[in-house]
Amino acid sequence: MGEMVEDKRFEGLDRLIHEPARLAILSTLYVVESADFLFIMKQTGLSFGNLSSHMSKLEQIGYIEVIKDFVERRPHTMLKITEEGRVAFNGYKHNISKLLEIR
Amino acid sequence: MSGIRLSELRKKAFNAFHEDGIIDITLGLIGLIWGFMTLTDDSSMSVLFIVLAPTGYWGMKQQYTIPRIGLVRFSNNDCNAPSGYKLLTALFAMFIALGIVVFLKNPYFSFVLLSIQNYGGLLLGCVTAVIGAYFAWSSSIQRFYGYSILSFIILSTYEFLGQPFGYHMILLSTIMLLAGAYQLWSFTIKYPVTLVDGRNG
Repeated sequence: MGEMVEDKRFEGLDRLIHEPARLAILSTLYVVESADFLFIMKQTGLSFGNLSSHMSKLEQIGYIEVIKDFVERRPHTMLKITEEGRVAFNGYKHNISKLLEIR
Repeated sequence: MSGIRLSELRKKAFNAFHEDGIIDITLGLIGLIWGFMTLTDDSSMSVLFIVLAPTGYWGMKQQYTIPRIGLVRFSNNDCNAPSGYKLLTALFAMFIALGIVVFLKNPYFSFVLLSIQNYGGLLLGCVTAVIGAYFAWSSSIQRFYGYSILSFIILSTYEFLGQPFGYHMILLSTIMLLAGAYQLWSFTIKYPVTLVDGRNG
């Protein structure tokens, strides 16, 4: 992490989204309204610990919203992509397709 | 290597949440009630079931699906939904509603009412087949293609076999109900209950 790439064309990529686990989380949240922790775990194949740490990072930068509530007196965590996260994800999509010139 | 298609990802999430067969069970139960109603001419059960169906559906989802694969909510105004999807659905619903009103009100269309009376099974078979195929296509739940073919065969044979329509409805609904129950059983085997957050699911 933090290693610089000399080629300036890579600079436009959002490193926070570019990481595969976070990309998988954001892609899933991008296509649904909201999903709980377990659903994201099953869809992405990430472990509990892995998902927790990436979730915290994405929440910290404001790309996702973590809603903690109780269902039948048990804790329940719902995840939702924020407007900022949606914009960042769209930007990432645009930049990566431009960078790789996928035809 | 193939890329990530967001529309495919959405379908994958949708399919995962409906892999449990609960939708089949609910539709099967609705069909069964309807079938029994046509045999007994008692419509009071339909009112009861309209109230109970959504509660039963979500009750089963909470009992079987959410503790195993989690909870997901899909937005109706999702920007990733196919562009013509919502328009097509709205047009389809409008077409059906307008069609029913026009055909029933206008005496010039009485031949349609007559057709419904004479070929009700065949028409209903066609309508359910089209709706089933449309649902299968838009949601990518493949088993609904099977139901649409099955509904066409079972409901349209009413025209030729001469048995009460309720029996055909009950047969179709029982098959859906059993298929749904098998799907639910397979689902519970495939996905054991997962503990997250100190809760089941």
